[in-house]
Amino acid sequence: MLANTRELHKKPLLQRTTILFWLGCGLIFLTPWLGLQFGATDLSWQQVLAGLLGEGSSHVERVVMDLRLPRTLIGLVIGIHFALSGWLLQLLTRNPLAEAGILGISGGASLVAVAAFVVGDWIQSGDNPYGGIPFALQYLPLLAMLGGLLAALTVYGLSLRKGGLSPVKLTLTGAVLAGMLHALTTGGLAFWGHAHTELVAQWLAGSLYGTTWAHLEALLPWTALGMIGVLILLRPLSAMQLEDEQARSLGLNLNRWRAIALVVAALMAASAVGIVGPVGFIGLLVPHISRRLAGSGLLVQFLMCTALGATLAVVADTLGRTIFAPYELPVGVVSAALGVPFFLYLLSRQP
Amino acid sequence: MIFLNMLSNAINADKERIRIKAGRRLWRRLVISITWVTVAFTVLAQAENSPVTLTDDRGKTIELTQPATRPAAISTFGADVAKAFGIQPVAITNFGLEGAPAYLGPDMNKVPSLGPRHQPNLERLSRIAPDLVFAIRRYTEKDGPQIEAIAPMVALDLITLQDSLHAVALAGDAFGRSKQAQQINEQFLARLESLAAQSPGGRTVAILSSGGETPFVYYDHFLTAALLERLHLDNGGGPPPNPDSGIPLGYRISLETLLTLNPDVIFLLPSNRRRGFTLNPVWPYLQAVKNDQVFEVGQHWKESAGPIARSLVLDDMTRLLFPDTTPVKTSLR
Amino acid sequence: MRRASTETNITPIYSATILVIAALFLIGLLSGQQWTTPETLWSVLQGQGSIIERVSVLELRLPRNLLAMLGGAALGAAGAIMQGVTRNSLASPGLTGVIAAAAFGVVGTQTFFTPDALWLPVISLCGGLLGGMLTFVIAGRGRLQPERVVLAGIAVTALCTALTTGTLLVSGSEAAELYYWLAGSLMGRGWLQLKLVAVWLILPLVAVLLLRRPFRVLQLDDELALAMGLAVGRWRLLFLVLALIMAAALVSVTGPVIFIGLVAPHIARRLIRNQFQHWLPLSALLGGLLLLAADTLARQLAFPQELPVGMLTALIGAPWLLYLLNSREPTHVG
Repeated sequence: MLANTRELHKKPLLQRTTILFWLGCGLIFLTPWLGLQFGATDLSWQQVLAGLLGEGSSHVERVVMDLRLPRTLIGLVIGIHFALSGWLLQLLTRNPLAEAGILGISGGASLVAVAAFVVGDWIQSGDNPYGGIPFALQYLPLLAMLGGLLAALTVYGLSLRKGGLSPVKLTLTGAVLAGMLHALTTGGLAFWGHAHTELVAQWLAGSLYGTTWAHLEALLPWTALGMIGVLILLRPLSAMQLEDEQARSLGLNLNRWRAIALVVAALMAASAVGIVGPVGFIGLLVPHISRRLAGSGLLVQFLMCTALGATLAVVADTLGRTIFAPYELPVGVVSAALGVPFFLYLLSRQP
Repeated sequence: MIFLNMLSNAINADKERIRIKAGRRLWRRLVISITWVTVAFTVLAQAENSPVTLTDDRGKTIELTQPATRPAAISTFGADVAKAFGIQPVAITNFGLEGAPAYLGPDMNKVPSLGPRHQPNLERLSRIAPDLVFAIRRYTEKDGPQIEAIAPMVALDLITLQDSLHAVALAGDAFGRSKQAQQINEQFLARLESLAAQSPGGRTVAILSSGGETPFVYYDHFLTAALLERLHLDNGGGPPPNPDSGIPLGYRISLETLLTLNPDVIFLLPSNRRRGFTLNPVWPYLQAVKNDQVFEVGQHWKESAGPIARSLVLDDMTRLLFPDTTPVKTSLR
Repeated sequence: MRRASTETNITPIYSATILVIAALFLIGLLSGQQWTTPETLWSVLQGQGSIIERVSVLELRLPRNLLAMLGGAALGAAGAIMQGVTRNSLASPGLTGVIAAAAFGVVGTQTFFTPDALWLPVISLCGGLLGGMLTFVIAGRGRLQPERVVLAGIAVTALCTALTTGTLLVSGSEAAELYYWLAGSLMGRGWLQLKLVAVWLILPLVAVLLLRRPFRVLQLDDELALAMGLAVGRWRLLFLVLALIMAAALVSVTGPVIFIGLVAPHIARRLIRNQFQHWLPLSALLGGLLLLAADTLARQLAFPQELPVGMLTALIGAPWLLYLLNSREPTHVG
């Protein structure tokens, strides 16, 4: 792999970009097919095609159109969300080990999710013990997103120093906050949530189980917003890679752009967490791989992140629901299992 | 005449329920049960394969064009009750820490598994395409719409004795065997009553989730605890804080409280943590331990709403609590 | 270093800490599901009193308080060791993956196997040691750059947490019990639990307190330490292993309890000013105080139920830490 990337880097920029472009396109087209073809029940590709065209049996229709297609599309989207969010945060904190979970964004969303179920239980009418659940589920994405944003803002506010945002401080503050939120979430779940332990646990694992078209609709506006935000940030980001003084001398308002980058990253991560729960490791790994393949050009990195993030999420999800059927391993666990050896390899090569 | 009989039976059964605990919930049950008993009768009075209307514990109405013959079970109740009516379920979720429940017999091993009850595999369910899904409400509230897109679903509480009786009757309607369901319920209650008549009472019991340092004890309304109460035993868990609501099922009891409670009999539910009670500091001081009155019971004590399970629970209770009484034959009641 | 007039007199600090610990210990003996009067306590200690009173005090509250004190001291010491040896003020058992890995070991074993309950401490110990070792391997040998240790530890913690969460999804009916354990608690821990871990807590603690001089030297620059004749690599490894053992052993009995190993050394450092030879013992004492206080609160705040102590240490420790991160003078990290 290293030999290949070295060869890749030797090629002229345009050629490399072209190769990567086709690679990215290939991934984007191939991955959904993976998600549609494989799963807990076996379908032939003819059946998948028939399902897509609306000509299959009711079982095939259900599996393809109701279960696998929305799930695959959501997988693509959240993969993009987490990958881009991790990429932005790594650039922002100049820390190759940064990502949304580490900075407490996922923790904030998780705590709010548990709180939503607990509050739902409290405010439900005495007669209907499950009245709280629809309340919790309806508001869960929005509330979780707000929780993630709040955590990001807290980390941001606490990391501000006289000169501006300190990347190292950001990482450390995030780690402390993440630890606290995780402890509170587990404690809250253990103490108040015993009636719904498995429900909340499923959400906390970051899983695409049971995701539908409604989830996709809720998510897409944020995807659009986030992508636009990233495109706007591309030029300031390149400037941010320089030393602070150099960047300022270029006329860059460092603090403002750092804040914007943080908000965009937090929005993308928190909105994804709000829909499927916290999924780690995609935001950690994909930016690394993108940097390796794409070199220093930020636009190419951005495109690779998008493609690879989408791919990794769908591959992880497909593996998770196929290998141990009828059980499902959540996306986060599979991506962690896939990613850890690779991650260790990457780290050991850090100077 | 038959109508009068059924109505009086229904009224008797309802009186039974009212006597135990008061509450708005029970009044609603009374209305619902009389309603569907009447409906069931009306249904039975007509042709055999006529449409079935069911009202589940969400208050939702489910219409079937004909009685169900291929039920799926999310939570063991569905399989249990199907077996009680001689119908083989077409899909089942896991039972506690095992796969298929052993107490339902070896046939269950052939039934395809849907995975855990809180995350049933929807693709498998779709392929199997049952005509009715019996679901446990508190785990399927989240994914109800997805399941209902595959097959009609009845969501059942399955926590208290009333829940169990109601659920069995509902299943009877679903299978077009309302009369048989009623008989099953009546026989069970009769057996319970006769056992209660023989029970001297005056003992305290506790059902603990594990014998370890932080045991979870069940409230009085939990089905197995409720059965013990009916047998004139005092359940140490106490009344639930929110009688109208079925959850929480119990609470973490501190060991000091357990010691103060000092139940005469302790039932331990299965756990992966073997001999967890070896870690419990007050264990040697409990009189139940000193008198050898600690019994490890099976998973069916935790998911006991089905007719076979609750009958087995009564068998266990008879055998463990009243060893001198004539052993009742352990057939389906 | 100047003498006498600028040196803080350390004795009042020690005395105050010990006094507070003693007071908390006493409160812990008196409080529980029922409030025990001091007279009853006295009679119980003399061997009289009803069986409930005697068991409550002698079998439940006494070992529990001792475990809180000892465990907290071990965590505080472990934190101080990690911070001193890696010269990183944010190293701690929680942030170096030890606690998360130990917890995953227990959860994983209890989900996929049926271990005898008495094996759990050993399993936890192995898990914690593996996690800590993984962190330090990732961070790079030899130099152990401070930032890299924390960053690697964060990654290992994230990994273990992800695996734990995933495992809980297939735990079935065992999940509720495991979640409760994961929240961290001292509820129901008696003499058996104390005996199971006492050796793993006391021996490293004593060893570390005796080895104060090498520890002090290690906190200096590497070249300086080498010049003073210290085999830096070996001593560093030894101290870290001792710290890992203490932290992982405690997890086996109480579940994950974080932030004490991080906060106690920080408070200690503020109190001792310049006299670094007192840093380690004071960290241990403060750690014991903090866990004892958290446990006492856990018992009373949600009476008659008990809050998980992990929640309280997080609630107390995290804001304090964030405040410290903000107000610190620039040190080696941040």
